[in-house]
Amino acid sequence: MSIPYLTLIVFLPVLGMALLAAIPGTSHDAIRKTTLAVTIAHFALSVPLWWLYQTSGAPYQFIERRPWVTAFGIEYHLGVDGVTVLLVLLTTFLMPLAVLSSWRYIDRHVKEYHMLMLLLTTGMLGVFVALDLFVFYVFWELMLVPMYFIIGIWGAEQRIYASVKFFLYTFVGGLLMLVGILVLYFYHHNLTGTYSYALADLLAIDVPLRIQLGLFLAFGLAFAIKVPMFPFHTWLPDAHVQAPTAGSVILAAVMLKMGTYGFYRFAIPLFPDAARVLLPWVATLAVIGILYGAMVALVQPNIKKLVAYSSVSHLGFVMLGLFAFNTVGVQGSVIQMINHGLSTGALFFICGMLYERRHTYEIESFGGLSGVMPVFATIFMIVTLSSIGLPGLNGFVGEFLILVGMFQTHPYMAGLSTVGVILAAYYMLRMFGRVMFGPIDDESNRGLPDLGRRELAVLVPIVIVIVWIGVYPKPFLDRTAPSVERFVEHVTATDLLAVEESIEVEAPR
Amino acid sequence: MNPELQPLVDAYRLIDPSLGAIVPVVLVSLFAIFALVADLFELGTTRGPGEGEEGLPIMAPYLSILGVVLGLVAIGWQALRLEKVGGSYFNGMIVVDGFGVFLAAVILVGTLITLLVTVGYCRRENIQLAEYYYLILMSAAGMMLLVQSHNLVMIFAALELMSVGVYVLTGFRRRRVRAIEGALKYFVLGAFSTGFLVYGIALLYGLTGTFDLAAMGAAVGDGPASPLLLAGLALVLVGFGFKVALVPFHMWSPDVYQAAPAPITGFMATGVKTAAFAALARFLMTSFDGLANQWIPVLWVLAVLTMFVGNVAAVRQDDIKRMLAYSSIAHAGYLVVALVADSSLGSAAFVYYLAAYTLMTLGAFAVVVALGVSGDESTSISRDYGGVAYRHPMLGAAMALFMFSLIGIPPTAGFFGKFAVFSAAVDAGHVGLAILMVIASVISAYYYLKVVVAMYMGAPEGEPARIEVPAMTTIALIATVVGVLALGIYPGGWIELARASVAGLQ
Repeated sequence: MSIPYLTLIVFLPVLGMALLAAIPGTSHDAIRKTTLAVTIAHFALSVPLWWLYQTSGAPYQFIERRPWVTAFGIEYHLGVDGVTVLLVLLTTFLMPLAVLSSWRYIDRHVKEYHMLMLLLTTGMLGVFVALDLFVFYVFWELMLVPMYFIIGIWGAEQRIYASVKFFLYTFVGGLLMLVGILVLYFYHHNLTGTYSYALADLLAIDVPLRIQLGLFLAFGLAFAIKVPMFPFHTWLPDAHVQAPTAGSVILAAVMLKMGTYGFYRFAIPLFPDAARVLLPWVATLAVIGILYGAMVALVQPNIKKLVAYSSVSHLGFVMLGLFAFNTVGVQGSVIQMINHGLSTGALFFICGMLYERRHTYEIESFGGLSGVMPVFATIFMIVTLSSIGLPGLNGFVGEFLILVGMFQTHPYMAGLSTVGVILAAYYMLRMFGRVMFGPIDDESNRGLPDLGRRELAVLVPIVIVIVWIGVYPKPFLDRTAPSVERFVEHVTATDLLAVEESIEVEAPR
Repeated sequence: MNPELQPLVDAYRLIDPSLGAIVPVVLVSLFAIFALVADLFELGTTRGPGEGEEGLPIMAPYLSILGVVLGLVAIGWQALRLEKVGGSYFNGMIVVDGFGVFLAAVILVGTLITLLVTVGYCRRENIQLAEYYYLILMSAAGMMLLVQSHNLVMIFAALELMSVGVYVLTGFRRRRVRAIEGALKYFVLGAFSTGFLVYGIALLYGLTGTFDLAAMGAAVGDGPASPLLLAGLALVLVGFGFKVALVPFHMWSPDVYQAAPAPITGFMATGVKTAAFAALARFLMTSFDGLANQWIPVLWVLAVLTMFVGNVAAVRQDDIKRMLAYSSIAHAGYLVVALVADSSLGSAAFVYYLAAYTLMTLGAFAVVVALGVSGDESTSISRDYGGVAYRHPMLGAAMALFMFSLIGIPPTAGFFGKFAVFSAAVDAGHVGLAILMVIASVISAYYYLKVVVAMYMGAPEGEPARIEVPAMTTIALIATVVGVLALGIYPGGWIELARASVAGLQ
């Protein structure tokens, strides 16, 4: 009997919730400190994954498999591959920072807030490590509830509208995916006679293209809403802007990755032929997302909205890389998931810090801050450049690999999307310039304090990782390479022309 | 022995072997009478101060709770010995099978929760009449008989026993105009629907020559159905449609649900629905299995109409009882989806969903009752539910759990129920229906969230009334919360049970 390592990682936050429940709701500092301790312990618990995961080992490791609902063949089935390891670590790495960033900002219902943050962590980690589609769905919906509350209770003025919109968008996608899961499940049963939601079992069957197309759309819609891909992105600006700082950070850094991760883990491998047939459509939407997100970001007078729309643009790149279906592109896409988590997460933290000082996100209200807050300016600059994709920082590695990968298969798409890179540099630098440089127009900007110790503790770890990936991405690429190669191999295993012909004659393959 | 008594003795000999089958029903009815009699002789009652008719029936609540608990024990005993005691009794009038036993247990659990909530409610509203408890128990007895009936005459009798009690309970607060209106509406439309049912039964009897469900099934066969037979089937469907409030036969239910005392609304939304649905399912699957291709399309349409009309209408409601009334219409639609699947998985989903639905709906009504104050049930979501979660964290959390369960978010009973219904629909090839149910569910999320939004994100209007949650209501709430979570986190055992219970039906 081995230690159920993944179960521990997933459910440790729930234990933390029990701990918080014992603390009286009025002792705010005790609650904050306990949550911080729990999240740091949680990160410490998950860090060994980085070394324990055998790069050249089995495709999935730390597997746990126990029957749950035997009548339906549902199993509690967890496991990680190289990509999951990074995403799990990204999540546990950001949680203590998120707690730190909420220290001042959250002053109402402190206990409820921190309990929900912990529950959210469990939901997100569950999504990443689930290898049974039912378990995956359960966690997928479970994480919806705490996020809904976090936006709805602690958000800005339009919070209720934003939280309900967020909930309904995700819910409709999730339920359609559930129907898709069931169709696949019964199809598998008709072929093999066994009931199973295990990803490995469902991967093993051949699904005719006609069914694949429908199922890919059902799964894809759920994930596309989450990513979010154009035109399903409209919930994102609302949710990101209304959410409290930590909520925006988690939404951008982790929850958006669930969409792309869903494509990587489920939608594409389960329905590879459909994914390849629909590639032009998906790639077109991704490119539209890149350009549209960038152009809307260009005209935003509000920093937080600008960062939110830049996410739409960046996630377009991630999708593009995934659908390159070659090792370089997918590698880039995976690294870009982490990068976006770090740099956009940091940008939202920075937005929150500006807001705590001035209670506004309007770019117009700032100006000349670099002289007042030099340390802040330095960190903000690094993060901005990372988001743009300056060589030497993390963003460059991801975007470069994605463009190389896409260029090999669809040069026009790659060419178009480079416009997005240029636009990103323009809107980010312009925003940075207007906030940090120039004369100090507004007297209230003059006396702003520079970063405190707590704020440094939030930003410095992120900056370190940003530089690390930028300078020496090899450990990250090494860990994901075998998983990515398996993914590409699986997707491109069948001869697409033959498959496309089979849709005409319906010949059994 | 006095020879004049001989016919009685003969009659007793005839039914003696069958009596064991109805022990749970007998227990519940007996204690209903005990409750009434105890009040009649003022056993343990104290008369109210000068208000002649309003004594304090101290015994009635405890007697009725005891009766239901004993009934549950008896049902449990039947369930454990189902191999031995299962079968047909009273000349085929009553059948003891897994389906009936399981649903009778669900009904009794629902009745128990209703009673627990009722005790506090009656104290607050000063409804101090033992008849109240008597009517609940007799109605429950009717429900139990209904799920075990295997004969159309028996179904009719049990349906009436159930309905009459509920008619009276609806108008129990007879000094309120709305209560009277609701009760009258319910009674008139109920009688009207019974007319349809009886006419349908008469047609079916005329064509098949039997009231027995199985014999009717044999007579109907698979063959081409005569128009009259289909007319009979349609009339019975309409009759049941009224009882379970399927669209377009639902018009009465929002008014009635709003008019009735809140615990009774919960009782109607769960018990009446469960019992009538069970009888409908048994009737369709036993007598008209051969003509499934005739009624499945009809139910398909009814399911879609019911889901959408119920959910869309609920979106606009501000009164929580009215909202839950429309929600219960929508849930009836989901249950019909399970019937449309017409498979063993569908029946299992149907039974599981009824259990899940009973728990979460009664839980929600228990919170509604707990939040009310004397003379004012405080049922406006926008006015009375603002900030509730911070004044009453436990009530708020429980209500949020029930709302999320009604939406179908894991890990709750409501989620797994919906999941099972989806499974059944997809398995039977009704993917389109499953997708329509998805869309309906998303609409429903909006109005359930409205309650959560008010409780957690709203502010109270004016000075909120102080409330105290009675101990019995607390017990009911704990029971429903635990039930909703247990069914959701460990659905395995329950779904096995549901499967086993419908084994004889298909």
